[in-house]
Amino acid sequence: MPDHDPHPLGDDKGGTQRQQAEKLKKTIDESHGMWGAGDLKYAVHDALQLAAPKGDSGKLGELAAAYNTASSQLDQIQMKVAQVSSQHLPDAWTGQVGEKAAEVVKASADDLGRCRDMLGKGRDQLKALASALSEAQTLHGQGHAPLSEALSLLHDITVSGAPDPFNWDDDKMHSAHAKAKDGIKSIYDAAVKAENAGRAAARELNALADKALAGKFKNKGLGAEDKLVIADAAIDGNQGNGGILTANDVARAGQFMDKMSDADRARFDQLLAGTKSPEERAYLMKALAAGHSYDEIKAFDDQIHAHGDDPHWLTERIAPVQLEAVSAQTAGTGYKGANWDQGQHDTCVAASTVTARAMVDPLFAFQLTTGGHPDDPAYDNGPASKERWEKETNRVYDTRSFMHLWKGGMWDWESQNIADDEIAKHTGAEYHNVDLDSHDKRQNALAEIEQKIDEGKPVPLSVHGGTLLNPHGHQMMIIGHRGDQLEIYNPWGYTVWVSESDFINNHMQGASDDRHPEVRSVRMPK
Amino acid sequence: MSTPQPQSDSQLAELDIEILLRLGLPNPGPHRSTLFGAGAVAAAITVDRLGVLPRALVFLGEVVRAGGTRFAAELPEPLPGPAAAVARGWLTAAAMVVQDPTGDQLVARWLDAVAAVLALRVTHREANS
Repeated sequence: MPDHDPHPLGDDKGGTQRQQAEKLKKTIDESHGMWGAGDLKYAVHDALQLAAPKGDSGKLGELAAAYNTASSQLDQIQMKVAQVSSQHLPDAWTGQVGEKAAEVVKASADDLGRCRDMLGKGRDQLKALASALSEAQTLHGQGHAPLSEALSLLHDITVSGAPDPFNWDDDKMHSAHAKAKDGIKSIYDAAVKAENAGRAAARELNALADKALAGKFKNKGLGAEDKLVIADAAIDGNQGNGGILTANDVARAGQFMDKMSDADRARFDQLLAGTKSPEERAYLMKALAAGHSYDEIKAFDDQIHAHGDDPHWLTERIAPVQLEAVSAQTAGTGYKGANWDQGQHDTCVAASTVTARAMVDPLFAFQLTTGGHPDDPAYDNGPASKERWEKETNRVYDTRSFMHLWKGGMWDWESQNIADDEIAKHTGAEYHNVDLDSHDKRQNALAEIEQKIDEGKPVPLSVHGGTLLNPHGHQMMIIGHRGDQLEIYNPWGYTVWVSESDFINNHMQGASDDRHPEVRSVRMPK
Repeated sequence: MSTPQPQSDSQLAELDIEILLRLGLPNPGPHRSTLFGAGAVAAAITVDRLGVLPRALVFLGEVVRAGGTRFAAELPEPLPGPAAAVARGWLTAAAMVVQDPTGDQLVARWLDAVAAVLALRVTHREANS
């Protein structure tokens, strides 16, 4: 019977099994000498209460065996289907129907093969987890004997939480400390082992679940066989290189398909039906996943369709970034022997936002490799692609220090004229200029300005004043509206609210100063 | 209705953009307006101080459109240099509340709005340098 009540170490049982064991291990390792005896006793007592790592290795073993059976059965089916795909079908069917049937059967065989492999990997993970758990539980059990012996010794030399002055024995304390250290080490190692094994299994099993691509097509309409064929399409037509579509692509393509109008959906289906290969179809699906409209995807297909049955041609131009296929950070990203690298910027290619976009957006990647002119040697070549890559990288990774090199020495009115289209120049956004030089024009423009604001598009605004010989101009931005008030950002360093009435009546001094009372124009976003 | 108050750059820079994103992205309404108004200005001031140029924000918006907010949140360097961590914070906050391409579109449009405000600041500075 332990002779202690709630004790000075506290009875905080929070944290994971590993954290609790780690805390007790620290206390035990650090409790020395006479005045450490009480702490040591409490910690040893608590360590004995720690539960063994949870989990039933027997059940996990049974589950692994079930996966194994399923995997073997699938293996037999896969072999039969693969046989059909390679031997029987082409004889039985000819023409387009036959080709489609062959695609579906091949995709089924590949899918069954993948399922078999996934189940096999799942089985291996479960087996590994079962064996790690079983080892951890044994290790945990081995910690109990030395801890119990230590506790018994500590009872002899302490009273409650303090050393017993009448029965104190240094040797017993040393021995108890050594045994306690042994025991808690076993328990701590067991907890670490179980935690690591659990984490590894969760990570691997989640990764396997992510690979179930066809099942991620959640959209309406697309037939099961289409899902299978598209998800099966591989980079460069070679399954060893991995699939064209990632799990993210498949989920997003399904979402975009569901959002399409019926007319676009029908046209898109027709586009898919006219493709020359599953690879061509998968790249169109990837373009859809990247958020492109039907018209953009059609224009893209017009450029690649002639080579639709040449997976290598497609891969070279549409999937120039293959990070996963090579080691993570040093992928051979480039085109036709011209390696794309970061040039003057510190960002490594693998980490670059430009690389990321090229991976998810096939139209962007195709533009980089071919400049929009496939098969024209003037554009579709390695050095030109590298130039385009560098230009993009410079646009994205240049920082302000470069801009500061340019100093203008212009007249005020000149700089304001330039500033009108300067925002568009910096962002690439499209605006059209709307002159607001009359009361009516300003009144009429308000509704559209507020609509643009509601769409989340700020509206650049030019104000002016002064005389012909001494004009003043300034540019600000309308960023919000509430009731009859417009919220304006002035780059002098503040936001301010002006009434619609002041806007219409050219009383804009409140937004800047007396030099700029009049509204001249806005740039209306598209 | 209370009269809306003007705010200075230093006041705006103190806004918690991640919170504004989490509140403003899910639904239209006052939080959304604040996110696209003062929130966009606050974000522009923050990255302007870190040397970012508008194109980088627009490009990041394109990545969000093409790959989704979650994908963009996992990028090691969504904006150049020291602004990377700031942008990752925004995108991670946005990814908590954005579930589909419509939400991604909204995030991208917000990044465009930040770029527009930043462009105004840069333009103004250039014209007066």
